[in-house]
Amino acid sequence: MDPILSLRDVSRQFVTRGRLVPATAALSLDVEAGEFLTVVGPSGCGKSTLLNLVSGLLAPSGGTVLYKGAPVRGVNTEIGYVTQADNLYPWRTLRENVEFPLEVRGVARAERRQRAAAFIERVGLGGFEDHYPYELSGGMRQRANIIRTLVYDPEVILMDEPFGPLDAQTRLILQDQLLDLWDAARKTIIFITHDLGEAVALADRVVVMTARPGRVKRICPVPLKRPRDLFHLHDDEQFRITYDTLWDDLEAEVRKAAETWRRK
Amino acid sequence: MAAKVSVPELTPRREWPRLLGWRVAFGVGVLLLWELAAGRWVDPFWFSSPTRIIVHLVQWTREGTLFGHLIVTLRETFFGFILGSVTGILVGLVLSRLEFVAKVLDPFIVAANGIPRVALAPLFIIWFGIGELSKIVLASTLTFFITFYATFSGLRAVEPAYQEIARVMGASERQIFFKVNLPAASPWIVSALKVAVPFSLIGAIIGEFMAASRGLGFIIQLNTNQFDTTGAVSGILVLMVCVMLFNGVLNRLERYVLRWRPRERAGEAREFQ
Repeated sequence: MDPILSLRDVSRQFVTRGRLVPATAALSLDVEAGEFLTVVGPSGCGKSTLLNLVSGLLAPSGGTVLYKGAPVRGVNTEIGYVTQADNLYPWRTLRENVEFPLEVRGVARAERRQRAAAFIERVGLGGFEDHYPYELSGGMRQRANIIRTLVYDPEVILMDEPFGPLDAQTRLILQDQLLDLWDAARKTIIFITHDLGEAVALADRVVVMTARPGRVKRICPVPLKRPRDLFHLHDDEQFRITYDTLWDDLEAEVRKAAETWRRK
Repeated sequence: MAAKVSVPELTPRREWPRLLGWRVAFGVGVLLLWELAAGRWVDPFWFSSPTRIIVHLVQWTREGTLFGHLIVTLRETFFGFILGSVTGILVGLVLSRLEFVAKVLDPFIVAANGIPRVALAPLFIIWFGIGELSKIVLASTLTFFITFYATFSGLRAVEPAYQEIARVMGASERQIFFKVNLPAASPWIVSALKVAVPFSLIGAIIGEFMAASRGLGFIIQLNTNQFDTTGAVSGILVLMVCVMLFNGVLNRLERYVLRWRPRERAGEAREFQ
């Protein structure tokens, strides 16, 4: 089967204070439809740039991004993007936030209500529909942020460290919920994280990126069967082996990144 | 989680009776001190006194003078506010989309806003007559700039992530404008509208001072010219009460429009503006 997304030698530079800084260089990657792909790499390796390129919010400086075989031009609205900060609209209630993408896509009011309500119930936010974001905890906001993307059923979902700012237990619960949701819909997910444990626990394949300028260092399939019991995964032999193998790769890149910081 | 939800709602409500009590106490205290001072330490001919003012206000009300003049000033204030803020918001909306035009016009807008309105008042009276229209236009020159700057800056300050995420979710530029930019800028616009109301009143009064045959400003001016301090201060007190009432109404409106903001933050703006 053809990959749903492919990046061919994609590079992207930024100009900061008159200096050209390459965020990614010669990055190539194929993403299969329906797979759960996680991406790890040292800080500043261009992980977020990768997602911005895939979503079409950024145009590549070189190379091509292909979506279903065609080059991406402009924002790709068949893709959903869950950002690191929740970016819920503070002036909309939880329900109104979740309905937003349906509203702008012209879905009728009754259907909007129904689809939003189903997701809200599913992630345990029932009873909070009419609360504004400031009245919700961080974990609740992040769940709302995720279902706001799932509700319009995009083919590909990009997630940029969505659980980063949450405490360990809330993360575990949300990871579990995310796997449930993914299992039900089997959409393609590209999930960025700095937490290798999270990357291995969730993924079909883990991508390790190099220090800046970011490119793919290694892609490693995760041989764990699904459904996975995230609450006991740390005892699993396979989990530990995969984790350790990847850590060797990642550690080298993290040290390299730290080295460049010292030089500056 | 439950605590986080309930705390912001409870605090201001419990505080409210105590706050009201102290406010009334402060107002009454000032009036008592004034009453005490009048005739003892200061001459009531120059400074009047609360009892004289009350008697005066009752008399004005009986004669119907107060209401007649008050309604003129309120009408000027109201239409000046509407005219200035509607055009201010519209021009702000348009210029926020036309970056280059906004840059070209910038120094001229700054200069126009810098004109002292007292200098404009006589001109407006020449152009628009001594009736209510000249006061309405004068008031609108104040409210226009307040709402224009707020709308313009508010739209410029919209979090880019809000717009990008809307774009990814499939919103058109038009939808982004109405569903993201406008609500994001609404706190700026609402607080500008709040500030604009007393300024509109100031504009109307300045106009009435210059040349008028009716209105509270006219009455204050007339009484001052006749050394009737009680009459002048009575007029000023009525104006103060009007501003307080307007502000009360505007606070309600603000709390409704900005109900999505945490209470503490809305409260800050409420108490110190």
